[in-house]
Amino acid sequence: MLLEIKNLQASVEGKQILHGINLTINEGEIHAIMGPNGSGKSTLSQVLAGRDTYEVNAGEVNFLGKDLLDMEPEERACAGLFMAFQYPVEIPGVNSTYFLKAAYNEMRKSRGLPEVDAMDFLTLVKEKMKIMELDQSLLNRAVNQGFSGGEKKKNEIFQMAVLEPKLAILDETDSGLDIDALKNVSEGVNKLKSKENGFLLITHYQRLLDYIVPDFVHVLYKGKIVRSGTKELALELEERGYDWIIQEASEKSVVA
Amino acid sequence: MMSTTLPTESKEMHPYTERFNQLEASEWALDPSWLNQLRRAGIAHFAEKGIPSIREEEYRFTNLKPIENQTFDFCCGAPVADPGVSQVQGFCFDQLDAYRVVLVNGQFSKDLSDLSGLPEGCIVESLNEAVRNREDLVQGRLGTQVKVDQSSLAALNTAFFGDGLFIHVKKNLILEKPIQIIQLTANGDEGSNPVASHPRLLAIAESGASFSLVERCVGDRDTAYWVNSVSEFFVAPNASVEHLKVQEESLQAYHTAAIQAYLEQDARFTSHSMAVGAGISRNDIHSILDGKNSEAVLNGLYLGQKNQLVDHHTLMDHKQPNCNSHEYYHGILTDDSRGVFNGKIYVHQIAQKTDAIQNSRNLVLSDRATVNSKPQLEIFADDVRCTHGATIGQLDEDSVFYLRARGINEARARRMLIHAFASDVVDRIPYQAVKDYLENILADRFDPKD
Ligand SMILES: Nc1ncnc2c1ncn2[C@@H]1O[C@H](COP(=O)(O)OP(=O)(O)OP(=O)(O)O)[C@@H](O)[C@H]1O
Ligand SMILES: [Mg+2]
Repeated sequence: MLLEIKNLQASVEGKQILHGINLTINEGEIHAIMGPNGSGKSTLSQVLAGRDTYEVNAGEVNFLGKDLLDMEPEERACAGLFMAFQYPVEIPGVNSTYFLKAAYNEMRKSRGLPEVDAMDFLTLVKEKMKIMELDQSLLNRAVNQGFSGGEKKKNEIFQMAVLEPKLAILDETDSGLDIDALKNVSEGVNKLKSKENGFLLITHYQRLLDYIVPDFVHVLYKGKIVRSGTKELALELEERGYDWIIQEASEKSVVA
Repeated sequence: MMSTTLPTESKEMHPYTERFNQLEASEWALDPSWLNQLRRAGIAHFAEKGIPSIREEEYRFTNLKPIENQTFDFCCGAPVADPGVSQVQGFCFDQLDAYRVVLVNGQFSKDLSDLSGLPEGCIVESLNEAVRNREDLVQGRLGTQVKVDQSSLAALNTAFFGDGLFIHVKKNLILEKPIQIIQLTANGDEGSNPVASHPRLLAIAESGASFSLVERCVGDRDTAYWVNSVSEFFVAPNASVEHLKVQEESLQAYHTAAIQAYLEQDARFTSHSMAVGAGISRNDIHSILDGKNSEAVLNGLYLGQKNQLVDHHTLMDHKQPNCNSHEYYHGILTDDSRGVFNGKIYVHQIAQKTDAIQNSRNLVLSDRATVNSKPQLEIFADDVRCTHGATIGQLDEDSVFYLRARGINEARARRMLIHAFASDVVDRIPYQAVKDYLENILADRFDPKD
């Protein structure tokens, strides 16, 4: 088991956003989370990555046998958790290559592996860039600075490809991508996909799931998973929208 | 450390005036009369105004009482100490291919300087010598940019500078290597009063000439002293001058400086002020854009720690049309330190098509540190582009989190962001050796000691 979330409740600035999430992701599985705007999808991914502006009020999260909520963000990353940000920040003055090499070596250090030198790292980077068809000149710039919306998203997946996480959470990485970029991103995910790792895709669009076929699809609504199913659920959502699920969910909660 | 002998407020003669009278009657007795007149104007102005107080608008945030309360030995004759070549070499930037000039307590030291290979047409010598031998170049320039009525500190320098540095680069001569200037302040024997030195620089670029100065201000570590310098630059049409100053005085020392560049048509002046040391430091950096198409660039980085006070007052004086001025000042303040930045842009009515950019950013890393940052725009022309921005803040927590989410520990993430903030200014320095040196200072200051 990669990740097990039990009754996770979280709030921001005193307002509860997550109202008891339960979710298990096993090795080799791809999960998709869909849900209307503001339902708490990014909150979930930020809480899992360790952003301290969100307060965890209850619940447990187990990641590869460890208590995830007890770990610093960097420890989570080094343990193999990766979150592709919905809105990657621009960091002027910090060179992209320098940053990624630092991240890569921190991860290696935490696993007792020797650091790689600049030459070896460059070789690795070039190989991974090909998959993403990312313009190499971007790597000479500051992290995300002046990148287009699509370039930022591709850069997230490029970082993922370099860091090779055990569990990758992609928060709307497909939003704002053109068709070719969407294919690159999907290819990146599919290349990395193995029996050992897992993915949590947050998306609004069925289109991504044509390229990356999920094993499970969940609907998050008002901080709760109100329905889970297989890839057919995504198709049904595409056709019918969320209303019917929301209605069913509220009927259930009235009964309960 | 502070002496209790306060300068008297009564009509009694100020000790500085007394000292002046002695020097005028002895050491300076044979100096040209125009020079002694200039000096006398300096002491007269100082006697009237005294050390600036916080009641003056320009010194509102910078309390110079500690200077006023201290009794200094004014150093205007021979240096009180000979530091020796090896110590001086320790103050030079390794790896910087440059000519070397050493001033000890403001006195030009021929023995410690190394000007071999200096091309013909380039004069680098003691100001004292230049005053005597090159009156035609010095008179009419010295004291005409930084005037005695500009500030009482400049007036005091004018009254007491015994020597200093004179630089003259002749028409169309481009000096390829920079001139490294070590401004060293050395106290006398134990038990003597702290030294006050008044270094003076007069630098002239004739038309089409170009040179760069890399100045480093250092002194005895952990001792008190006062450096009160004045630098005047004359940049003729098409000439270009660069002045990089790394101020690393002792943390007990006081450093006050007035720097002014006078630019004619198509001239260019670039200043980099890197303020790291001194308990109290104050830099007045003025660019007088008095020729069409001239350009001034003022870059600054100041780092405050402990109880340091770091003050920069800049002026971009646009007196002619089509001039550019660019200004980038970054401050990083920790502990109980204070940063002051006042950036004045004055655009005269005739200075149409002025393009002025001012950017001041401050990183305040402790809740006891403070910054007073103020743009001061006085614009009397109507066709002007003038942009300014000032920020005071902490590190961006979203950026910290982004780095941490990729596996970089918190301390390192913060350090990376501090370096990035500083590099915005440091990267504008054209000398790798100096950049590396500043990077090391940043690392020393902000990297966790583990
Ligand atoms: N820092 C914050 N301060 C205040 N409210 C917040 C904060 N972060 C999130 N919220 C609120 O929490 C709720 C959930 O936000 P979240 O970003 O998790 O939604 P989402 O499902 O990712 O939406 P979208 O599909 O638009 O990305 C929203 O109502 C949002 O306004
Ligand atoms: Mg979201």
